[in-house]
Amino acid sequence: MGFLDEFRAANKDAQAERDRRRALKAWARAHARGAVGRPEGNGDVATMPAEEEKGDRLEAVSGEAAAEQARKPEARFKVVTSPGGIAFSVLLFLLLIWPFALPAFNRSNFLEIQRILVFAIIVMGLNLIAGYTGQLSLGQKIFVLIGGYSVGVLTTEFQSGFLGNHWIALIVATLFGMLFGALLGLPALRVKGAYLSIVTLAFVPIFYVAFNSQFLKGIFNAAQGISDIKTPIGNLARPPERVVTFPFTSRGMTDYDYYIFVVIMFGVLFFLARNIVKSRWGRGMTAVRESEIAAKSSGVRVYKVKVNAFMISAAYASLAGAMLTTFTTGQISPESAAAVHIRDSFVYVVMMIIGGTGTLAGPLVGAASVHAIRQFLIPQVQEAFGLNLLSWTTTILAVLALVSVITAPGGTVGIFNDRRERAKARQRRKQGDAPIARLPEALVRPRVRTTGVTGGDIVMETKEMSKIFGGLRANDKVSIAVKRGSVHSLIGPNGSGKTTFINVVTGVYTPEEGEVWFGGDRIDGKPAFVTVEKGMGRTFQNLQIWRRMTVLENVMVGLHTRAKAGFVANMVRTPLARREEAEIKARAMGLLQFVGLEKWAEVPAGALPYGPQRYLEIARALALDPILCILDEPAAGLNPAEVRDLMGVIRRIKETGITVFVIEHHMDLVMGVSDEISVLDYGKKIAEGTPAEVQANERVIEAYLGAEAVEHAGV
Amino acid sequence: MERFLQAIIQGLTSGGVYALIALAFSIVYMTTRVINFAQGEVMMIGAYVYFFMVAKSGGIGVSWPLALLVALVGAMLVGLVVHLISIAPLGKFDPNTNIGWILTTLSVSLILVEVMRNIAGEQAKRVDPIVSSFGGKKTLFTIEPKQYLILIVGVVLALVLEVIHSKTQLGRALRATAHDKATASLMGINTGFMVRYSFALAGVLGGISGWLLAPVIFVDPNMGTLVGLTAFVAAVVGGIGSTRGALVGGLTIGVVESLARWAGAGEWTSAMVFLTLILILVLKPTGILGEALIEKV
Amino acid sequence: MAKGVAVKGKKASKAKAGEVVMEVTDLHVFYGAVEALKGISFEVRDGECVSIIGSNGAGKTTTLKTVTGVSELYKSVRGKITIQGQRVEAWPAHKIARLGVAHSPEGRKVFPNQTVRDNLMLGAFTRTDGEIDKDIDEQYERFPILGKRRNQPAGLMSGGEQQMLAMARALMARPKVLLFDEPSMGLAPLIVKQVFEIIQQLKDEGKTILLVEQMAFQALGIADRAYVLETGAITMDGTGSDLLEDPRVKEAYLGA
Repeated sequence: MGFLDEFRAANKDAQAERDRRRALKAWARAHARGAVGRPEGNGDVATMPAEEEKGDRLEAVSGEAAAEQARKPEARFKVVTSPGGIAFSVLLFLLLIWPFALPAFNRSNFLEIQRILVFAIIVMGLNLIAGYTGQLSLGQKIFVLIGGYSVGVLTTEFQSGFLGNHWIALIVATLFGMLFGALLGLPALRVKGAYLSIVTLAFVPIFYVAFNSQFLKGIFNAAQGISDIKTPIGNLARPPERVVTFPFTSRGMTDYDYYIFVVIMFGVLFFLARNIVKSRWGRGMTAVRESEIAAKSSGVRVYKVKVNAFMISAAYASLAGAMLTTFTTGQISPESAAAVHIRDSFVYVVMMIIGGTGTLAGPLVGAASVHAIRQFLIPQVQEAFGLNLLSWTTTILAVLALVSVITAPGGTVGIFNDRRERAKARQRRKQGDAPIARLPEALVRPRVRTTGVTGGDIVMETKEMSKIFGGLRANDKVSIAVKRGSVHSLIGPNGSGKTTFINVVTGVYTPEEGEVWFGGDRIDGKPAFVTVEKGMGRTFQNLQIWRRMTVLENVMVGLHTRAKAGFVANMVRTPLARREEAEIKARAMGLLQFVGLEKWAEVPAGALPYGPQRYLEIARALALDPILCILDEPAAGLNPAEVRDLMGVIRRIKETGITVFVIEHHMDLVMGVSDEISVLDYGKKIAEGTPAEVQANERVIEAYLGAEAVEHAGV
Repeated sequence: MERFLQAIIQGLTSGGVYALIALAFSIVYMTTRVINFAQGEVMMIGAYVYFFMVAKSGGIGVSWPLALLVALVGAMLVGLVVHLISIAPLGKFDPNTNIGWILTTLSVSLILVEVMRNIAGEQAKRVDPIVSSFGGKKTLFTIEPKQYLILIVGVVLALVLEVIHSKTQLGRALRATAHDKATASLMGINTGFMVRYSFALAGVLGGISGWLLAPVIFVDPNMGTLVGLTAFVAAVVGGIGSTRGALVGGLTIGVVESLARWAGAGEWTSAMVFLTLILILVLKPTGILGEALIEKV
Repeated sequence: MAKGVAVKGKKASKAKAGEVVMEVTDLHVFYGAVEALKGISFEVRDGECVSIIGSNGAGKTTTLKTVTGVSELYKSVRGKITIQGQRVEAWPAHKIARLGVAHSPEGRKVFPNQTVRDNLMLGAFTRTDGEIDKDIDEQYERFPILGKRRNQPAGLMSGGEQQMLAMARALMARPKVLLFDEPSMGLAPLIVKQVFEIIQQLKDEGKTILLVEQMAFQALGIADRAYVLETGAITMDGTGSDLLEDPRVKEAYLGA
């Protein structure tokens, strides 16, 4: 290939990419229009039953209405009219004015409130990685120290320079937190398991050594630490004033000015965390927590989600640490031992657990109650009863944590939420099923991706592909070509390599020989999410659904890759992010109607009967707008009537233009729906053709249906 | 060159203790898929019990075999208590999606540290080695007999357990429990007992390592934390859940640590150990001898 | 036939053909608020082959799991389960297994990381007699493929081979009663045929069998007596051949 050809080819790729983007935009626009359509019949927008009390007004209406509403500017203000939003606003207001209203205003009370807010920020971050993503960090104190030291070092080293400015230093501190979060998270989060806990715990002593080190004395000043940190607060030793000054005068800020800043930061960070949690990234996090493999096959980049969540949590902790250093003492030191840091990190976890893991209000509740126990209750009891309780502080908190984990895993807020959920469920049972909004036809149809797709008539093809496990050829030079728009089945005796074939095609395994092509690109050796993003959806033989998420949310995770708004965009809820969110919801509802699960939308997926769980997986796979939908033994465990239904669903999927690839033993189903059948035996393809041809093929009868193969099966 | 060799031998000897604790981690991991964050503290308690039994001043002053026996029984009981408090109340749970166990075992470990600090004080205790009496002279490569004892006991115990767990019904039952409790119970295996057995055995191993380590480093309430973490790294490096892996990982980490010290890492020695962990996670997350789980999707 | 099994209870020592080995009376099982079994009753007599058929979600697997005590979260049980004359509702699974109940679970559940031989050894876990090796050789004769693969990890075998191993493992206990849960599940038609041939063979040898199956035609064909389970309740029972002829059964399960 000459240079010019290469150039042309590259140009073509770029052009295709531009086309794809344009088409996606067009899709979004067209879709938004499509979603405007009112339900037929009555003009009212019927609401979905469980949604009404959900708190968040934005979600309180059915998909299409939400899509419509999200485009109106006033939608964004509706957020605060929810009960939770109102409570939160009132709380912020009270926090701001209490110094004027309460007589009990003195320096220590004033500082404790600020400390609680800062702890709440740390715990909010921790909650993102531990509560929502399911990866527990045991070393958040590292990041708190990094934040404190950043402010300390910068403001003392660069005195009056740009970096010495307190506000710049706060930003740099946050960035340092993220950087070290990435450094620890990137290796620790690569593999499944508790490795983040281990790595973070193991690095607590190392950071202690670093801050204490003679070698780095020039930076951290070893055990003495940094004591003359420049803070914007005029004089930390003076009793706090209830005066608001303009912050940037030469007089410096009052304590109260900085307090306002802390409260605002708390509010902002809470809001950002909430937005993440309620966005597709939040669903992605929960999906990762509940089943990594299913998250992967739905296009969620598991590793990226985990690392992102951990970096955000590190950033929260660092920013909190920087602020803490600023308003308390203005100094930072490595303290007496690494054990102290381990204990502090543990206390953050206890705060999270007691408040409520994986809840929004939990961090503040937990920070306040644990801090109150530690700072007020224990000293008070010690004084009143003359017990030596202070030296048992850790034990008391640890026992609290144990009791909380064992008896109330959802923490304080969780108990409250459970009660509310049960009340709602009771109400639902009493009222019966509310009518379900009929969605426009266009939404109740899976779509086949038409943009950015090349590859002609053949959607997916393996060429002489072999997968070898320790010398055993699980797939031996298998060449299978799947025609666009067809239903193609793969059958064969157990152990003939069907599942291996799927795992190679979906990118779980890399083949040793041969090539795999999909949508005009070679995909062998590419990671699983590449095939997903290119439009390959799949279901699992042993169901992989997220049991604790609702049925609707399960499908919404499947639509993860259909949205473009990134992590940050969702964090600040840009108009694009809000619109996409509403569209995702409407589409998910449509797909549920397609497979007939709409009445279950708000039910936790784990509570579905077995058959519907299979349909849920199909709906989730269709959410990818797949070019190719792979069904791995979809009829396993279904009764004859359900199998007939399933055949109907497969035919309807085919009608929309989506190519279907089925692995199945159920012969009625295979013969009934397939356009083409390939047969594997001992990893080799032994036959291929229409159902009639395959049924008549002698080798197939011999290997699969007939008598000769008795030998190899073991009798 | 001789100093280098000495560093390696030194590393192997301290690796013996890491291997024992890594073994404890692995056995508990096998039956419960849980990493017992209190394992280092079980060792610490074992060391203290031994000290209180054997010390002439500040202790009862009995003979060392009796003291060892009491320490082992004590550590075993502590192991069982850890299970009773931190794992048993969680009931049936999936350690991958429910991270409560991290918190419960860590809670117990912090409680044990604080209890010991309040009982025995922050001050480090000294324990006399049992083998310095073999003439008291330093042997090959100026390494003391008490350190050879660590290596010998560590390796022999690891090998004995390996044989028991691969050749007997007990071992098969242990692995069956590790893989699938429900099906194991259909075979007539008392899986609850197997889990308790693993915690008790891990406790005994902790007691032995506490006994071995007590004369080498001082006994203090925080001794378990760093040793425990280092041994955990050893378990991961060798391949967690594998008996042989624990031995290989323990010796490897011992040598890494010793070589780092030899190369002048000083206060950064433990940092080198944890960097090994990072390296393993990046290069071969299943560890040197760890078997990849056959996960069917 | 069940020599060497540690059997307690008054009837156990001289259970002769026709005596009730397992009796379930008015069994209710709840998962949270859902009633999965709504008061079912059935019995298995010595030397009989009994089938329970029903579609998915009818409660077949729940029945077997409850009988053998495999505990599940959120499950509560009411009713009477008598095995070998012992009331066992509250017993843990391993204790019930020691009564001589061998349960080959749904989905085969071999121990994938252990060799074929180790799996068979585990099947004999309750035994203390000296004939375990002899029995293993017997299984290798019955299932030649297992003999060929004796030192391979079970997880590397095909689904059909694993089913053979699961059945051999159950036989290793020298059980009073064999419980098979959906042995045909997920197997190719040819293998399904073989599985039923083996069950027929075991029946001919006089073994007591409780077979739970979705493949109604084969299961009824092999059974002396059978029960039809529908959404947690037994709706029909009778001899296998009677049920095969029953129009309702034909309609619902045989696809007539």
